[in-house]
Amino acid sequence: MAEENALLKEFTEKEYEYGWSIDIEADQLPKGLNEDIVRAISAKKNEPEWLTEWRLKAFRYWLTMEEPTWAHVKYPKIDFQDIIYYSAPKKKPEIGSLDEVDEELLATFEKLGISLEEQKRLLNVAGSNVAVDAVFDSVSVKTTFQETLREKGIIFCSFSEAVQNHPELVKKYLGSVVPYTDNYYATLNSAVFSDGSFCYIPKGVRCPMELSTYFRINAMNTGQFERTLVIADEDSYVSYLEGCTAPQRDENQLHAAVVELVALKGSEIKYSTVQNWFPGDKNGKGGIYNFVTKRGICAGDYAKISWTQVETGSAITWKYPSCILKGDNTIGEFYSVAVTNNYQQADTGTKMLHLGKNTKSTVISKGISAGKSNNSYRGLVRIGKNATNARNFSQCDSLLLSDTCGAHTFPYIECGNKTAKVEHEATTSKVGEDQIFYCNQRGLDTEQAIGLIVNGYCKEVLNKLPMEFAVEAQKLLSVSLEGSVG
Amino acid sequence: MSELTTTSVLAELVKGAEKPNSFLNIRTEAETFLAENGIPSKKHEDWKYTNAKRLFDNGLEFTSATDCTFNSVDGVEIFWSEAEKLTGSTAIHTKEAHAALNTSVFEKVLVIRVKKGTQVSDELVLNQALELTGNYFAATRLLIELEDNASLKCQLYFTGSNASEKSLHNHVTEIFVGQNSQLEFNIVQEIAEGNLVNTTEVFCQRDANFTTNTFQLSGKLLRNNLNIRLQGENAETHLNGFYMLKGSELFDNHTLVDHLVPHCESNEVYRGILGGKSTGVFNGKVFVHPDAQKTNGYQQNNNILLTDDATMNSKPELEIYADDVRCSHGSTTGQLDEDAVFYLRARGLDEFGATALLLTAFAGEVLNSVSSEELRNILEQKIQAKLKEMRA
Repeated sequence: MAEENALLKEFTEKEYEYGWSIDIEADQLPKGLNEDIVRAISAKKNEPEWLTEWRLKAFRYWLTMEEPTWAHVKYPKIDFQDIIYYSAPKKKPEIGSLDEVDEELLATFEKLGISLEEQKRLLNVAGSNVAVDAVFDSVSVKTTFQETLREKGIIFCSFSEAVQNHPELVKKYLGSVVPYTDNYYATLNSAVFSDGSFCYIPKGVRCPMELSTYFRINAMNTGQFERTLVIADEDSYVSYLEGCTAPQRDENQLHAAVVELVALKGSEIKYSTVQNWFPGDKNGKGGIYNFVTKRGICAGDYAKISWTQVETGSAITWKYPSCILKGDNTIGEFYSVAVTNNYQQADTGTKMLHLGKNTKSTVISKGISAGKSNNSYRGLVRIGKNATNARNFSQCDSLLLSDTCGAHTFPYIECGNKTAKVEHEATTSKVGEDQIFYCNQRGLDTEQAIGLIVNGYCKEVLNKLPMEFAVEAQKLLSVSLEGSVG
Repeated sequence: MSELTTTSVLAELVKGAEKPNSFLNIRTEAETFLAENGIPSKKHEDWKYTNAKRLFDNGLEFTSATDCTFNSVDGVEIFWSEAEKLTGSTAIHTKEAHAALNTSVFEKVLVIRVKKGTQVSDELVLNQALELTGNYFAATRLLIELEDNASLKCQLYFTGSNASEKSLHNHVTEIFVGQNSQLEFNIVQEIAEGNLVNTTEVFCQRDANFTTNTFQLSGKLLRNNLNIRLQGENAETHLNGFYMLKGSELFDNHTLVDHLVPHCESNEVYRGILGGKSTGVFNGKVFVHPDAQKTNGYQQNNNILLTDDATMNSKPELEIYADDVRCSHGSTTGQLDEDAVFYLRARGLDEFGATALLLTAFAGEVLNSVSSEELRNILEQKIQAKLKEMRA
């Protein structure tokens, strides 16, 4: 027990590994939010009239909305007038030339281990399969390998570029999955989103590499409002990676992103996330507020959307990647590992809305709570009246690593068709003493044993991650849970 | 909250409702709660799928019909009271609006008491037979107290063959199960077209065992709020339910098992068959408090949909703040296994016979937890009868 306590102490006192902040002169708008700010953001991005109007409609609607309070999380009220809604690195480098990128900026990426040069070199020499659309604060700094992608007809660029170069696609799909009236934070995002990624895979094309966006929050008091739109045209395939680290800071930062996925007939989108933002220190001070709306629609028959997420960071996570299974024979998947420690709070899960016939969904959620954290699974499975032969299987397991943490399950199951089969199961338990004893007997110390057991516990989800991410995720898990033997 | 506001709240909700001149303390608390919170609408998370507020919007008239018939059983003290001090001591009237409304207006409480060390062998049968033929509102109230080392088996019927779809029966039962006492509490709800909101609040002491089986057979809207608080170590509770719906019936079961102390066990099985355009709701919550280590909590909800227009909303919840626990839950919704139906039909049963046999077996798990064979037989017959109705 003494050893365990020592381990626990060491772990809980471990500071955020990727914590630092670099000064780069940022082009910022003043604090606060009003119609002028919304117009200013739109003007800065040189957006067409319809988009400005769309933002304003969202902003006006947002004013009529109330902040949601139903999630199982507690935090001080956010002052939306105390946030800078736009911040861009002053020297905007030209696309295609690394030389003009701010040196400090490159150094930041280097520290993160995702140096653009490295990436480019790797890709050119060995034909490695990761393309990065790096997001630094709010503006896309560098988009690589567009040429390789362009050959296939794939569009992968920042959201602002898409607005300039492919307005017809943006206009058609923006807000089609997450309308600007959707929810408080999505509406806020619709009004003030600064940038994000845009991806279009044409008919019949299998994207040859994993597309990846690295998010990074810098600059004090800047909320990030990313907007991602992925469109997979008929019979195409794309795997999209999203991962984040952020510098340590004292004040809570709001992050309200929106991700929209559109999968047309016969296409497949695989969206993977590893999230490791600053979770606050061991006393629960600081940390990112992560209020994200992610939703995909299987618009055509035989389409498939798969969400995989490993959530270890953020002070508060409020995130429900969802699938609307509209076409017949469509498939939705959700695989999640959520780890909370210290004073972190996570309220995460998924929504599977079965509308078409023979639609299938799988939900596997693994929650791990340690310290004084709270980890909730909240999910909805709705079988519509016309969803004949719909099938759902959900499994939500929770693992408790201390006697002061909480693990909760709030599943909503709404079944409106008699031919549907819906199953849900959940268990909550701690790591068994007998399991640890078994490992100890075979020469593993307690910490290794926990690592082994937790990794085994999460294996089902980690297996779903692309290779590049699986390694990172495993590392993250072991770092997050070092010594957390309760 | 001023007297004026609270009085007007009651009158606004139910025409002719007044606060009787007894139980003044708890009635004042209840009225204050009601004035502040009002009757919950569908916007309230606990009433998301069930709109009971519309009954009030249509206008309800107060009636003092509160009769409850009961048999006389050796070892059980049973009497009407206007001063029983335990009444309201569960404080349910400060947590839930319908219980608060009941507390504000009920006239007298039926007290059932089993003295220390008394083992009651015969079953106590209570019948809340209310004929609410119009837009009437009635509030009834029960209090069951088992002192230490006692045991009792009790059946509570809600009946009313002419109950109107505009009526509302509001019932509250408070139950105290003393140390090392056993209570089996079976509830049968069969109120034609009527509406019922039934709140049951149970306190279990050390080594107590509380078993309850709820059978919902007919009614326009049946809502049960069952809260079981395990307050003493090694207490054990089994809560089971079975519901059968046809037409446009809406049956709703909300349960809460509150594990407040270590070493307790809870076991929950709710099963339902839904036909017609009916709607079923199950919301089961197991709450494990920070100190309630070594808790075992188990929860299951199975549903069979017979028609495309029936809807089942199931929400099994776990909220856990202790680590050394074993809690699990499961929920399934589906239809009868075609192979099983075919197997029986191949052996000479007609389609209805095969379906009925399988559905009766499905109900079996809940039925079997009723200890009285007599009641089991009655229920089985009622289930068969309802199956025939549903077929038509």
